[in-house]
Amino acid sequence: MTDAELAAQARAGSDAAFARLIERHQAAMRGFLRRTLGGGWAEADDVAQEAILTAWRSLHRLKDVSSFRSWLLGIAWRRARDRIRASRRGAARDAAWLETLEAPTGVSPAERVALAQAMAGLTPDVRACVALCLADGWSHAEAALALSLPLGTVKSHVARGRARLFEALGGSDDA
Amino acid sequence: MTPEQKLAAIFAQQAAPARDLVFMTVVAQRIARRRAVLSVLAGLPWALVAAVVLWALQPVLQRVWTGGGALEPVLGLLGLSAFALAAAFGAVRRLTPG
Repeated sequence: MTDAELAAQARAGSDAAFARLIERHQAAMRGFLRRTLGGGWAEADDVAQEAILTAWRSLHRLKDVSSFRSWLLGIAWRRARDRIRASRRGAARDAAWLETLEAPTGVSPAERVALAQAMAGLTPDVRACVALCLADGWSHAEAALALSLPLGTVKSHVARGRARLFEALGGSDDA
Repeated sequence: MTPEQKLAAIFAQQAAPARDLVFMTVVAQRIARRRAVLSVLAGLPWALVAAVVLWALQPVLQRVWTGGGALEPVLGLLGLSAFALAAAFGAVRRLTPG
C-alpha cells in the first residue's frame, strides 16, 4: 500500500496503518535526528518517539495524505530544534558523536574527526538540510516542505554544507 | 575514494536499522500509555455529569428507596458504575480497529 493509502486509513483511526507508516519511515527519521542533534542514539530515539506521539495525536491535521513522510519529518525537525535551543549546547557537542564512530573503509580517522568538526560548525538549519539532502537523498523541494524553509534557502544551505564538508575531507566542491 | 564517496560512506554508517522491533515496541507502549490516560480523562466529564444527575435525583431516589439505610453508598456505586461504563465505552470506540 502507498503512504497516501495508509495515511488515509490511519487518519480514519486504523492503528495498524499508523504502525506500518512508522515502521516504513522510522529509520530515516531516526538517522536524520541523530545527524541533526549530534547526540547518540538515545537522544535521537527519545525525540523520535516524542515526534511519533505528536504525529499520532495530530493525524487529523494532516492535510495532504501523500506527504506523510515530509509531515512526519517536519514534526521531528521542530522537536529537534526545540531540544537544541533548550539545551543551549555548544557546536562542539553537536557532532561529537561522530568521533565515536569507527571510520568506514577508505576513510582515515583524521578525516572522520575533520568531518565531525565540520558538521559541528554548521548551524542546525544547514545541518538539517545536509542530513536530508546529502545523507538521505531527499530532493530540495521535499526538504523545503519538511523543514518549512524556502526552496532557495534549502539549496543554498545544501551547497554551503557540501562545500564545508568536502573541504574537511580534503576535496573541493565543484558542483 | 573521492570526498563524495567518503561522505556517502560516513553517512551510510550513521543510518538506523530498517527494521527495529525494540524501537517499535517502545513506541507502541508509549502510544498505549497516552491513549489510556486520554481515555480516563475523556470519561471524567461523564462521571461528573452522572454524579450531578444522581445528586439532583437524590430526593426522588430517597422516596423510592424504602429499604432504609443511607442512600449515599448506592449513589456512589451508581456514580462509579456510570463512570466505568463511560470509560469502557470510550475505550472500546478508540481501540476498535479502523
